[in-house]
Amino acid sequence: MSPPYVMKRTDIKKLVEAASNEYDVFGPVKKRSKHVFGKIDNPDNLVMDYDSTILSPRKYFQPQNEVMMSFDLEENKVEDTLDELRAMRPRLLMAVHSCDLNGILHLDRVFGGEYTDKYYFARREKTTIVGINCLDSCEYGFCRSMNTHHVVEGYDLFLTPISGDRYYVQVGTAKGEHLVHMARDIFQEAGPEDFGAFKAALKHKNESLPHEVDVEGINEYLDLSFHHEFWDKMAEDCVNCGACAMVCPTCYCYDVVDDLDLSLTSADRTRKWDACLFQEFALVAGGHNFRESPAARFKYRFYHKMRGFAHDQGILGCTGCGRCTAACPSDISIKDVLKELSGIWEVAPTAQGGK
Amino acid sequence: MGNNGKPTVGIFGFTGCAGCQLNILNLEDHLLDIISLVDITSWVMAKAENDDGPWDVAFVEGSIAKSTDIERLKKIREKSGVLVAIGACATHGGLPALRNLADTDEWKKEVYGDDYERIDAIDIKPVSHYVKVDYSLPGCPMDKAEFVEAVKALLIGKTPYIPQYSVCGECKAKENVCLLKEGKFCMGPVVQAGCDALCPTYGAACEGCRGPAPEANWAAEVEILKKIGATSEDVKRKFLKYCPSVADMEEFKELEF
Ligand code: SF4
Ligand code: SF4
Ligand code: SF4
Ligand code: SF4
Ligand code: SF4
Repeated sequence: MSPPYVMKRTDIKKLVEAASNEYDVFGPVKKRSKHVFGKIDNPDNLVMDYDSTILSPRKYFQPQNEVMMSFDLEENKVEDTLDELRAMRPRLLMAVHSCDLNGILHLDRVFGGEYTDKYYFARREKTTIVGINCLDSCEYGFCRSMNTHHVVEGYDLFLTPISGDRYYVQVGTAKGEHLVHMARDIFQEAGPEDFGAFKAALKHKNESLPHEVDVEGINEYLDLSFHHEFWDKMAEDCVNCGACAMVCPTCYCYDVVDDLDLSLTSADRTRKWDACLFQEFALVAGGHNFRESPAARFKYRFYHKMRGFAHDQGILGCTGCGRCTAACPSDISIKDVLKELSGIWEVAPTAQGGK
Repeated sequence: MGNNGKPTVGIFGFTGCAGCQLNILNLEDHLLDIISLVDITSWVMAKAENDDGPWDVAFVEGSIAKSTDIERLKKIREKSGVLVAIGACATHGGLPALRNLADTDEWKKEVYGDDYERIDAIDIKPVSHYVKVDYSLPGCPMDKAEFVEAVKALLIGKTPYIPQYSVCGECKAKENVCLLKEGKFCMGPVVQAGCDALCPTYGAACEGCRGPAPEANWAAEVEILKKIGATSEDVKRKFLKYCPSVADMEEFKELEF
């Protein structure tokens, strides 16, 4: 592993400029009063210090609408889009927060494994990621509670803001090292003083990031609460719009449709983001709906994030990024849901929590 | 089927601005393809010669505002295999139906003077109030892309698809800044998606032109709008503006504003 570096924060522009020769660069940019990940054509538009973005970086690995193949019945032809995808220009994704780096690792688990999703990994492999450390908390996030405020992998470079308007730069992969070498003169190898500055930054982070929600034993709380009236009460405000799932870095559900053209013989097979909040999500042939009521769908989202995902993947399916709270038109806060849920069982001992 | 083996189509207008029909004419990229697939045998807006049916598919625009309209609509229904209501006027009464909220005799006198009783004006209703509607393409105007989708679906024997959730889902997929959070009275949470969140994408609050999403949680939307300063009157207006027929829904009657 290559040693850590330091760089001046203002030199980020130089890095982006140098990288533009080889990559399409994306990163946080301003949108009205918020930020979104967008294409960086002018390095001045890149915002390194931002609260959160409306959508997570998921959109770069599993886009909202993705054509997987085209077919033509007349000519008996099928064309996969994978080759095109594999030939795309490499991408550089700048300033990804720890929670989102963990979110991407969540998606890697979902799309990897026995049935590897080649489309997802084609995009993933083409992308170099520069992460950034959050030393202070954001408006809605609760990363520390979900243990996603730090990262051990998932980045190519990882920047921590340190004193002297500099970044402490950790190199995670060969892709990261390659990026360093594209603008080698802006990086200096870190020395003992820089290690001190790095430690001071981490100390600040440790003191400033709150631990707000206790998710210990959450799987048991959920098992015990499946029929609790709490869910119906919480669901009263939910409009089942699915905004929470759209913005979530670890939601991955999609629907596959054939977009037929007017020849009626050729079509694009497209996958589109779907959400378990929608009425048709669990509707099957014959008209049966496994989650008929809006309240059942509201509840399900939490059971998938906090129970089903953990069962399948061994970790909770929430990074605590807070986007679902920010996006909810009814101001339903996932933090409040989790807090109230544990409140219900506070007095009851659980095998794992031992309280 | 017409003489040439193509399905026959009739396009009809009742009370409205004719914008939905115009939207079909505006489908420049697709119109020729569509006419190669179907035989439009009646369309007064676009053709000089029009026959009297029957039609495999009738597209009906506009609300029903005169007693003579009812008979005409029923005839179209009798002669059509499939009837598709297009646009907010046909699906939910639309802007013309705002007139239901005023006293009919009073405004008739005001507008037409002493002779007002001659004017045939009944309470405005959507097409489905009088005849069976097989499919509805909502919106003011009806979405062009959705119309093309419906034509394709009907040609291959599928049910035309309209999203069954609310505009916010689409709005977030487009990564719009939420207008509610900027204090604008947006109807997105309860209005049927399918327009790709057109208005919020351009910074304007959703006015609800596509009508309520299935299972719309009206009570939650009342709270949402009141929380950012809307009065009961504002909320009611918002709910009824494009879709006055909503006032006939049981869920609506039970609402506390
Ligand atoms: S964003 Fe809020 S209102 Fe919409 S589905 Fe999620 S919890 Fe319900
Ligand atoms: S559930 Fe909410 S807080 Fe958790 S990862 Fe998804 S958007 Fe973020
Ligand atoms: S089931 Fe729901 S919560 Fe789980 S990934 Fe899909 S949309 Fe997200
Ligand atoms: S702007 Fe309107 S449609 Fe978009 S998310 Fe906000 S409330 Fe929903
Ligand atoms: S955003 Fe609302 S008002 Fe605008 S087109 Fe869509 S449904 Fe109609």
